[in-house]
Amino acid sequence: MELFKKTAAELSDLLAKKEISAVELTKDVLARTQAVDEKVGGYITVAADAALAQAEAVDAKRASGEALSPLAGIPVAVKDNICTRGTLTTCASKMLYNFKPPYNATVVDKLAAHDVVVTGKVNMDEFAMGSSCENSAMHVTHNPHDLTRVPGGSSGGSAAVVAAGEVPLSLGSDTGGSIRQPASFCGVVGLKPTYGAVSRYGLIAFASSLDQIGPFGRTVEDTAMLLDAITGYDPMHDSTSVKTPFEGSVRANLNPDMKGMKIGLPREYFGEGISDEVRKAVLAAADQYKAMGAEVFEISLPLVEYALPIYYILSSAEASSNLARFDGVKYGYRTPNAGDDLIDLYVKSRSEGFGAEVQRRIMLGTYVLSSGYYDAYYKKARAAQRKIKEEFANAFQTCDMILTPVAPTTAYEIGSKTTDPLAMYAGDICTVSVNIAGLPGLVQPCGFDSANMPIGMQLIGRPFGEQTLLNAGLAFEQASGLRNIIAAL
Amino acid sequence: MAITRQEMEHIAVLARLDIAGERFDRLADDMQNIVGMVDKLQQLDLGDITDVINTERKNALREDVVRQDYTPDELIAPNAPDFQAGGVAVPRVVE
Repeated sequence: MELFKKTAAELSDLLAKKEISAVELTKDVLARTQAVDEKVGGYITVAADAALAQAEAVDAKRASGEALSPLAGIPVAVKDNICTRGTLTTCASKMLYNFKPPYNATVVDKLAAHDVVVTGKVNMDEFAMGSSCENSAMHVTHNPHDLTRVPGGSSGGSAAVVAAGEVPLSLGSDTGGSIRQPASFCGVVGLKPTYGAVSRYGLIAFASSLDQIGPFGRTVEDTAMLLDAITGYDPMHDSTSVKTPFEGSVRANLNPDMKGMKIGLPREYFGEGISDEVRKAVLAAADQYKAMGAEVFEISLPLVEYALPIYYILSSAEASSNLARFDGVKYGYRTPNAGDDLIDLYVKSRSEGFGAEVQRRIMLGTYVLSSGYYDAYYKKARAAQRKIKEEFANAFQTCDMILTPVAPTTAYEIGSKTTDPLAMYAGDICTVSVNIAGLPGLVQPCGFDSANMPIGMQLIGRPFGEQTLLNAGLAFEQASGLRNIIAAL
Repeated sequence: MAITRQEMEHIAVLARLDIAGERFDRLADDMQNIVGMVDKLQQLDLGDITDVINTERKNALREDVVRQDYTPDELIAPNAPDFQAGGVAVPRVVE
């Protein structure tokens, strides 16, 4: 029946009407994975047995007449930095190659409460540091639309398995664009929620003040379904989580009416460095919104010029502190070469366990926090973060949403940027400000380039403006027909 | 600001990383470039904003309740590189 080609919303209906069973569906997506993942390399761990057992349990519940969530029986893949009890959670690092968490992340418990079928753990850049999935210590993930190209990163696996039809939905995490840029590269929908909307408990920390878990899907409605399941205040485990005004109700309240909606186009995001094809496609989307009755006008966000320095200072500083816990003592990789010196055990375990990019970030973070440099780098970046927040707050006095490109280009060739960290970092220019300001950002496909690679667009919203973003996303999706795109593999 | 060789070595000590040998030159080049990129921040005039305290947020506190969800055997043993007699074994620290 090729169930793998259907959206989560369609599958939810078929399950509710008992036209298909969760076991049937799980077998179908696992068969798709079996057929294509050797080429795509999206998964680190396929949890086939656990997924089938979960599917059987859901079917039994449904047979007994229990009221179930719309997500009950829907397969979802989870990024490998989100803790799953008893299932390998490696962060795509040698450092955690054998780590089986003793507990679930809050989002994983929430998925279980919705009777979701977790299909396994998907690939990423090591510790979520990277923009191409090439920093994984496990293997490279390939873009399903062109296997010679990267899927983006760091949640490259999460985007690739959805684009390849291996699963209708997945979870990723976004610290500087790690959900949005791979969604763009792979032609799927990805949402970075407002900071605090989703509990970070059990998300292995990269930069705690910027990290946020979010959903991937092939349609806006599917993405809203998964968002509804994962948001919520988590007072026991995450003191930065908050109650959202849209808890559990985004899908039900989707409304694609764009009349009178005000959309700002920040001129600095369309300038030099953005490829012509990307610029044209995003501006065409802006015209589409005008045709639907929205007011679209130019705005200015000049501080984007400083976004990369601020982001790389703050995120690396926090990373250097967060990753201090990996010392070869309590869990994860321990060097066999330490002899009988404890400091040597720390140093060798870390130097052998972390990959090159992670070590670069730890070095930068340690530097900007070190005595003599703290004021010039870390403290200044924190103060500049306030300026960026203010700049967005001012912009949102005149517009409801901001429309921008996601990345300067579409997905590039594997290996083309791995030797130059700065070239890789430069690709994050359109996404990092959203994290610095703690805002929500929605990415969805808005066209294809001449090489037939997907082009994405980004809608940035006010804090907790997720409903507005997804409404606008749905409106564009209906007008453009760009939805449920599955790569021909 | 250029990073000197001595500074690189000092940061590596603080970060508990071994960057000796052939890795040093490559990492020093990369760090030089990355610090050059973040140095752009020095051109930004922040006016009177110096305070980094986030005034919009309040501390979220909860009761400090003692719970024991796991025993050490359940929590630590399965993942510890070297688990002995209810604890994690490390090289001798105190003579």
